[in-house]
Amino acid sequence: MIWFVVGEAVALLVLGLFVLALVHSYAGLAARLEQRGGPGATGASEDSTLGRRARSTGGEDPRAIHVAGVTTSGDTVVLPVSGVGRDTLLAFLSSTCRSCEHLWRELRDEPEQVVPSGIRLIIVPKGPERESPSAIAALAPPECDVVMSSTAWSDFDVPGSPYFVLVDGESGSISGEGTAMSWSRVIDLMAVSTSDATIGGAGSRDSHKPQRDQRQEEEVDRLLMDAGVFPGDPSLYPAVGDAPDAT
Amino acid sequence: MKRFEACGISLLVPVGWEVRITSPTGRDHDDGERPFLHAANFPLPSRRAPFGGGVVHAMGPTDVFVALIEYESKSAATALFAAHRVPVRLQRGDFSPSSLQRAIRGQTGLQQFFHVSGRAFCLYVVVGGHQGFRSGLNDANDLLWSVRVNAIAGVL
Repeated sequence: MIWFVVGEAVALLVLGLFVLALVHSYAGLAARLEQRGGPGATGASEDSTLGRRARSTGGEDPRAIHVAGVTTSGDTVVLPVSGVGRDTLLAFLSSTCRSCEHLWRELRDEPEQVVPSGIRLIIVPKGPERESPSAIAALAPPECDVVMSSTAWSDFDVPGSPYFVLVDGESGSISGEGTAMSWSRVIDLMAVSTSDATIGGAGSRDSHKPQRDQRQEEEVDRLLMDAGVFPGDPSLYPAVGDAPDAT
Repeated sequence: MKRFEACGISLLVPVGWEVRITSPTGRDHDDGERPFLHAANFPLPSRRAPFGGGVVHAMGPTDVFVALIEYESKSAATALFAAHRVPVRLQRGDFSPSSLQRAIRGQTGLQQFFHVSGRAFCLYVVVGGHQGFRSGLNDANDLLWSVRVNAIAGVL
């Protein structure tokens, strides 16, 4: 009997130490986030990894199903991004963003070449209350799908332009997102993002992991992405010579 | 599921379906162009004629195309538009190749006229092939069931 009590006490002690280590680890991450400051604003000046940002959805279905808005000619459109046979690349661009100029120019020069044929490209400027439809019409090739929608910017938590979101056509889950200064860079990053998803399995999430742990990981991922820290960022890895945290 | 609305027509859009509502620009609603709604389980081109010109020629055997075309409001009182609700629960037996605006091999179609909220419409549905009934007719029925039409001010 006494051995049972002793064993239980030891188990509780180990569990307590584990919880302390976890709290210490999160505190370190939060401190690092404060040092880096907030997320990038409109007109990002350098490429970022098209990383996978988990989203805190407050219990709502995290899948994207449709993108809805108006075309430059005033038609109301609802375009599906889920339950379709191919992935969708949403390009959040602006007519006034200097970083978007090269992207618009490449799009006009080679509209069929900017994304692989198996992916649907949808250009998503903000709605007509924020963007000029005629300015967008002058920039976008007529064969491109354009959906002007400020709601979409809000739904996808777009921090600024240019910004790209890759949506899995079957599930509607977000395979990757981020910013880039050229279409070739966007494609390169998409390839990295989708290969990461393949390595990690469906949704890149361990299905055996407890849901609470998964939610915590997703929340940390979201905080890091908001601060501009994407998968592969050097700041996530200790420099050579650093001692590991004691547990 | 989120409801989408334009030109006084609102509906729920099934997963995987695309909807485009083209509205008249700069014209009086009772004089000239009227809105038409297109819905499909495949991507729609930006340029389309009301009865599917520019669309139906490229449809495949699993594709389903739905068009709601509005007519002038005084047509709502005529015999042709006597049915007083949006057609729903479409079945395979309602379709016929002879109902197609443009006969295309393998396709079959349906045309039904109705009025609702003082507005006159034609429902035109094209199914690309036998597989389209299995893959798309249920979704088309769900979409039609969800349609709500508001009266235009001054018409009723």
